[in-house]
Amino acid sequence: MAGEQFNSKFFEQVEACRPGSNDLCGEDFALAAERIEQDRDAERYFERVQQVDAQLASAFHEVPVPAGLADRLLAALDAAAPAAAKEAFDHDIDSETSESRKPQPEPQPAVGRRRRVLQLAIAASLVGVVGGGLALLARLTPYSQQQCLAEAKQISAQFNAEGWKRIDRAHPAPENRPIKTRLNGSLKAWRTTSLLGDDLAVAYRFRNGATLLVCQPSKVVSGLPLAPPSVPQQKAQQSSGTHIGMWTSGGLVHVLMVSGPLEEYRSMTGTTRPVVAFTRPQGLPNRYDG
Amino acid sequence: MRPVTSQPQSAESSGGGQGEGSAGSPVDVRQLVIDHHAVVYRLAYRLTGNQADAEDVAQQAFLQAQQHMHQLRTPENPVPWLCAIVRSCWLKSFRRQRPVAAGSVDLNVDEVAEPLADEDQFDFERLQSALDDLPDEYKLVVTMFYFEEASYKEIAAQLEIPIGTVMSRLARAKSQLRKRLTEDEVAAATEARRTH
Repeated sequence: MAGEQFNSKFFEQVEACRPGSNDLCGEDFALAAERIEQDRDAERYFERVQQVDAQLASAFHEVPVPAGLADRLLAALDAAAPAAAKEAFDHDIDSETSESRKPQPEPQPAVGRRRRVLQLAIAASLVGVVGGGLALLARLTPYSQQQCLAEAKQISAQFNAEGWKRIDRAHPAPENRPIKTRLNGSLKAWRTTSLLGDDLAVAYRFRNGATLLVCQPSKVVSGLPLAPPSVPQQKAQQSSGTHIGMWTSGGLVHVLMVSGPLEEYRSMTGTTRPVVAFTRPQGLPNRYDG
Repeated sequence: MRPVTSQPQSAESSGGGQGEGSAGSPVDVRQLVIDHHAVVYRLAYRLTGNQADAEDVAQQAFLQAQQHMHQLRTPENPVPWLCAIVRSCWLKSFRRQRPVAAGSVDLNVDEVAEPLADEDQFDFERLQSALDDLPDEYKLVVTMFYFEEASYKEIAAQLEIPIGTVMSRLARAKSQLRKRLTEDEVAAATEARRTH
């Protein structure tokens, strides 16, 4: 048992030494350092691990960066910024509104008609500028999750039996709006639709009756997770209701609508699988020894 | 070896801005993107295993960075902070929660792959494939070890798990990775012999 313990600790300490570092000199590595000092095989093993580790560390950075990535990231930041700006704007508006509720001083006597016309013209221009700014803001403001949810519910309510194409060789699922996330379920049919400014959006129907909408929105949808959430954004209020989960993957927004119990939604999205922590069961022999 | 540093990387289309995010000047998230998008993307790629997901994680990471810029404690070297955000985004959105079988990996002196000749490199795709086969708990520690060059203590502190767990996971993860790469080497050599 003592020998096994010694070996497992030795291996762990050797593997924890970063390539090219002086980690081995640290207190925590005394056991490995001592054995390497005394045992030629242990020394060779350590050297081999260090060499391979150095090559692997280098290889980990060998990832080609796609062209235009920085531009796309900057564009995403730009798209997200107006949301914050709008919040600040709303805050200012609220502040001004509360200010205006304060008692106002008595009105001054009327001024000349020409002056009033001039004031009105300036006010109208200001309204125009603010209106234009708001319109621009609206164009740049990302879709909210609530918007996404509302649109998805609205178009799915309008679906009828027509327009669906059975998924077969004659009607393969469209390639431009593919399902980017693996879902547990058998596909039955698809149809095109329009969602979040995307007229090429696709609705997929599963055999269990669930519907998945896949679209490339004309603006970013703020705050969507990058995988199906285990708790859908809209949970059914009753057992026959619909759970709606939204996420983004591969640049496409996915909206999954599943009727029935929450387990059905979670089963499709695979979000119920338990996490099993790594622990060595007591009583198992130590398997470090070669 | 290329350690993870705060050395700026050039953007494909952005001609300027390099070095403007140096210590002392206020850090702007756009500058972080220009300087460090490559390292963020590479880490995201190693964790997710594909370009689309890696871009999503990188985008999410920079959005998070923008929202929490006040939490950046070391503006002169923001890379570790960015890497932590990338890991967090990946953990929240992509981890597969695959169970780890206890005792599934043996450690053996003989299974350490022979180092490659200096001019050779571990194949990019084969390394990724081997990495993708690891359970997420292993993939995370091994990526922090090799990519971020984090010590076992740093890994333990950042992941908030005991040091003993880190050492154990690290040893098994590295062993499994090498074993898979060695198997691939043998398979490739066999295939090459067959085709000749």
